Amino acid sequence: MLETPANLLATLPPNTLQIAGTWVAALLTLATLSYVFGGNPAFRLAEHLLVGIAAGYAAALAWNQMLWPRLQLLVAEPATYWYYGVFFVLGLLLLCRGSKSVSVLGNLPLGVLFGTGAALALGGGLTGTFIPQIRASVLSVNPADYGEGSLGWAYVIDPIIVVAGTIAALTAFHFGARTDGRLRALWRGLVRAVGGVGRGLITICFGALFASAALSFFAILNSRLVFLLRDWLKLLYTGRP
Amino acid sequence: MIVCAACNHRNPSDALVCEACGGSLEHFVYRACPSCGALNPAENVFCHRCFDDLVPGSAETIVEASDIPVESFVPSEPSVTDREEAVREAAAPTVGERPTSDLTLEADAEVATTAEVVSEETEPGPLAEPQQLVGEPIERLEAAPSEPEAPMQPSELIPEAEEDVLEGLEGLVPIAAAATQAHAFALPVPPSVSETEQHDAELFHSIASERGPLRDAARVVIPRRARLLSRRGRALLYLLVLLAALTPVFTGDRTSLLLRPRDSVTSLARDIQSLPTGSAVLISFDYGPAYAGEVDPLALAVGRHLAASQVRVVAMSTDPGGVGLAEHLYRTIAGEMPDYRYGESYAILGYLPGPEAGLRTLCTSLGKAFKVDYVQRRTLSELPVMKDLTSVQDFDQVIVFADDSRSVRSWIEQVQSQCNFSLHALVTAAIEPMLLPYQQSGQLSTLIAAAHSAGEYEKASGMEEPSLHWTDAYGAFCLVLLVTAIATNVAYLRTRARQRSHGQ
Repeated sequence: MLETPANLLATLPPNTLQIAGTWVAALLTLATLSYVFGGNPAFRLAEHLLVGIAAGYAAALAWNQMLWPRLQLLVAEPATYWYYGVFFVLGLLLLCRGSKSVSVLGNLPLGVLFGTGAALALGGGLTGTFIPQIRASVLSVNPADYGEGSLGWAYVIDPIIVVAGTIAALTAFHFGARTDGRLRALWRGLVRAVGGVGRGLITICFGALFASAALSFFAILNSRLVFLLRDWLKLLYTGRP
Repeated sequence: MIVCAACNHRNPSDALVCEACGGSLEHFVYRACPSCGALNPAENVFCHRCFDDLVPGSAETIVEASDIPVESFVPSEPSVTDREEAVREAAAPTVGERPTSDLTLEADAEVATTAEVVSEETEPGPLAEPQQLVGEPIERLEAAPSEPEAPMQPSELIPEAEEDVLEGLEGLVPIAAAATQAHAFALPVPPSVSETEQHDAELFHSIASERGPLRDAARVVIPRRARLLSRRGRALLYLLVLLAALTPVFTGDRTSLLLRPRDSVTSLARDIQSLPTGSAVLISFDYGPAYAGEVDPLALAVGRHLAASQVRVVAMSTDPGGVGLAEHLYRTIAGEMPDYRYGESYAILGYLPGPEAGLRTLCTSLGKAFKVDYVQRRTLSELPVMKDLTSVQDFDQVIVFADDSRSVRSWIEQVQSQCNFSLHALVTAAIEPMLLPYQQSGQLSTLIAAAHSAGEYEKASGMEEPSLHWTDAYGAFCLVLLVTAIATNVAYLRTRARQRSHGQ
């Protein structure tokens, strides 16, 4: 029998590949976590593997999912799918960017790419973010619109805080030269006070963002520790994943 | 400006000795490269920049005094080849036509010195060894006549003292042979550089290589006690985070039973529960392996709930890494439920590139966006699960798992604003705050941070709770975060108060 890789794999005990995969993943996890002791060759290896495999996988996916099926259609029915030929030519022209002498030919597909992308992004930004968000910002400050009693007032305070907070945060970025005059001194004091409130709000905002990011990274760390203890060492959580 | 050859210090153009090391600047002679124009010391055989040969035509390559603003310009020690060339010119009948600058006069004087040497050698083969010639002092150069001279006989200009110097040195060092050979390097010759550009480049190099005051100011000396405290504090923080992650080992999931699902999680579970059998849900796995540890448990919980509700699921991704993750998750679910088959209950369409144009095609035709599916490579019309599903509007719900807020924004701006359907965003905790305005405006039906929501979702949907053990770990981590924030802020305020009191 011809010893092909498939035949060799068939002779291995069941779950061998899965066990090997778990071991590789566990060792790479440990290599990545070793960064806690500073940069080292194991961490570098894991880092390079991640980047290289991700790039190779993306390239294979683009070929299998996008290019090859459309190329087959173009070859089989050129009269129907002629427009794929245009896109392939544009794609090939993009490769001209690699050579200085013919790089000008790459401007055409880049122009199409950026032009289409910018037009769609602009249109989508207007209809999907700009107008709906402005519409959502127009809120009533009448407690009766939200309900009876203190609940209505609570809903009114919320948009007021949003508007006042936005103004205060913008004022925090106001920088002006020192000028004379009582009125100007009063104005400067007001700007300083409101700007201080704005700086406080910005600090709270950054704190909340940092806490969210920390929670996100802790979730990733937790998942890796669970993997090491449960899937690799079989110590914990013997139930299903 | 004169650069000292010994210490590289830049001296004023009228300096006779180096300001830094005190070395003599008397023999400051440059030779311009005929190819690139770079200034080289006179003893150089090859250009320091382009490696071009400086020897041929050396009479032309020596920079004239008028080109370089150096009053103390004393040509000295011209190379053997220069002298040989000069001798040839001196012997030629057109000698009188040469320019009459100070340098050429000096060269004429040197010609006289070497004329006899060359005249003694009848063969043009190996040249004589380098000979020490004393350069003319500046006073003599200035005093030299400036008008053109008549051709001179070489023998008239031979100083008596210099004859002795040359005596007996012929053939001792074969350096002339090497100097006359063409250089092996064939580097591309850079464009000609003017003297001003050369000076600017040297000035830039000196500024860039100097140790500036900023670098010295940035050097902060941290006291040993503070360094130790920082190191120990970091180690303590690592230990606390590790202990927080291992909390379920000690608690045995008992505290997780107290968990109450949030309204948004309950709302999503209710929406999925209310879907009739055979409904269709589109799920986009827009996250990569880096965030799979956070998002996967929630995606698994939602996927199991959809499978249990017998809802058709069509998966896709706008992130290349998300396709493989989707396949892995659905292989796990299909392994748990034998009736849940690929092509009938679920399908993975694959990767859709283009955050704007790619997503926009979902509004018109799924078949244009995906020619074949990812797993079986069949056309979409061949998959039973795709029956009556031609565009994104045919789906009852659309769920996006994402690790990047731009991905969710693209879904809102390019797809939802055009087609108007119910969109649920289940995202990482890091990007949840950025998407809150879309939830408050009603564009997102649900916005859930994935980090600690898997257990909540399992509880809300009334399914098994394998992700519940995560909850204790998150609770412990939040406690660590809170205690650390309070402790460090208190320490900071105390330090500042102490510094103020010391200042007063």
